[in-house]
Amino acid sequence: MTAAQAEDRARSSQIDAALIRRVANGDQGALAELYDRFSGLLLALARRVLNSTSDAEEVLQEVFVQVWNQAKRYDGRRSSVSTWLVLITRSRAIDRLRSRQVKDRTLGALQQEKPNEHTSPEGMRSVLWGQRRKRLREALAELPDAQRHVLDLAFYSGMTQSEIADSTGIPLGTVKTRTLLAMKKLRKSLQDEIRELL
Amino acid sequence: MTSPESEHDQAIERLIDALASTDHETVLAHTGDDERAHAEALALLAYAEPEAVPAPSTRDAILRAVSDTPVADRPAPVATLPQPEPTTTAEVIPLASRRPASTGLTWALAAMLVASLAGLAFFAGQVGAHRQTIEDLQARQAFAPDLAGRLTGLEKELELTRQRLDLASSIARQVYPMRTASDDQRGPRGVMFVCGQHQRWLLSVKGLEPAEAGFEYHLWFDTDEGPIDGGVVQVGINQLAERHAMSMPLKTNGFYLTRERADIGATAPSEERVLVSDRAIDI
Repeated sequence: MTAAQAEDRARSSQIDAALIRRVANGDQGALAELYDRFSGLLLALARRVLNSTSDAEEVLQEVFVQVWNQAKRYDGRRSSVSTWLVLITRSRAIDRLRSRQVKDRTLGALQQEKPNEHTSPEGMRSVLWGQRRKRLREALAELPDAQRHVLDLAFYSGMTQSEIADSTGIPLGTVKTRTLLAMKKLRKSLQDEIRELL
Repeated sequence: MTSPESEHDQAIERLIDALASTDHETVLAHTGDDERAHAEALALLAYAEPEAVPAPSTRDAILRAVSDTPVADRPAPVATLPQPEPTTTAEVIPLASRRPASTGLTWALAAMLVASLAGLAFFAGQVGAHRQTIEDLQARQAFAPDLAGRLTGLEKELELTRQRLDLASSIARQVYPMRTASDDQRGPRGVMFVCGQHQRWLLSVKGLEPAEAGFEYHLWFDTDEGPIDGGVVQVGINQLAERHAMSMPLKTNGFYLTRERADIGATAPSEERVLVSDRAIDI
């Protein structure tokens, strides 16, 4: 990562934190701006979990209403804004997934083709996120398929390691080893990205 | 003594398992030092997907919802009916200037009729507008109690969660895993968070089947004076079971979960230990 890129990302994180503070003070314009910055990422995540664009759109609405109501509780010491939003979205999507009782369909969806790529219009934000996505994809591509698969199941379907072992037939100890190794490699590959989020 | 490497491994494992709770606060509760870095690494997985473009109506719906739903500590805006537009009254023909009986009366009657019809038409429009406003307000009113109820429920739930997570994320907290007595890798698991400063504790158990009718799960603290009842642990289907309290019995060495008959009020643990602490408590 170049110094200029690092500076851009640091500025982006500061903007995110400032927006959350404004949302906490009841600034709807700040919420709209936060939505414009993150809706593409969060919708893609929700759609990946739910395999349904309409359900994902509803989850996206719920997420930002929750952000509006809980912005005062955001604690910058515990996570970056993007991580906070990602985890809220994931929680909501997994809740809906479980209520639909479609875990089996989700496992099938993991093997399907990915949806067509859409691009969002804004310039700088897309550039930064495009770089981050590229770095992440490179990091994930370095993982063995077996490790990436268990990480996908843990993150996108909310399965415990025991449930992953049960559904895939892989011994629990092997599941744990694979997720551990995957996370370690991911963290090492993305140490620059993570450093700017801390 | 654990090495930094194994501590990292345990942190990653806790993080991965915490994801299954779908409670993002639980995940963030494992923050602090390297665990936050692990959480940030995990959240980066969201960037693996290409960005999606939401429908324009989604943004509008969100902004409408937050403008209708006030920020929690601000009073709700008071709905007011729109004030009616100033109206013009029909001209009243004074008695003194009326035309002579027949022609004048006819014109007057005609004028009054026209004015009445105009007035009726105007008021009909006003009634229609008011009816629409009333229907809109009734729709909002029907929606608002539901929202208010949900908000109250969520606030209570979040307050409880925040209290629990204050404990789980406390710097002084220690973590004690639980396992089945036979160390069955696929069996239920538990974890006890203990805050060394106050001995507040939070027990979290997963993978345990609900007790059959007539039985319940009891937590027991193993102390120098013998076992002390830590209370009943309610277990639902496919749910995390939790129990917490502000203090732990003195000289607690360990803890375990047993299955007891619900009708007799257990005063001592039975032989059937479902989960046991993996190591001794050393606060």
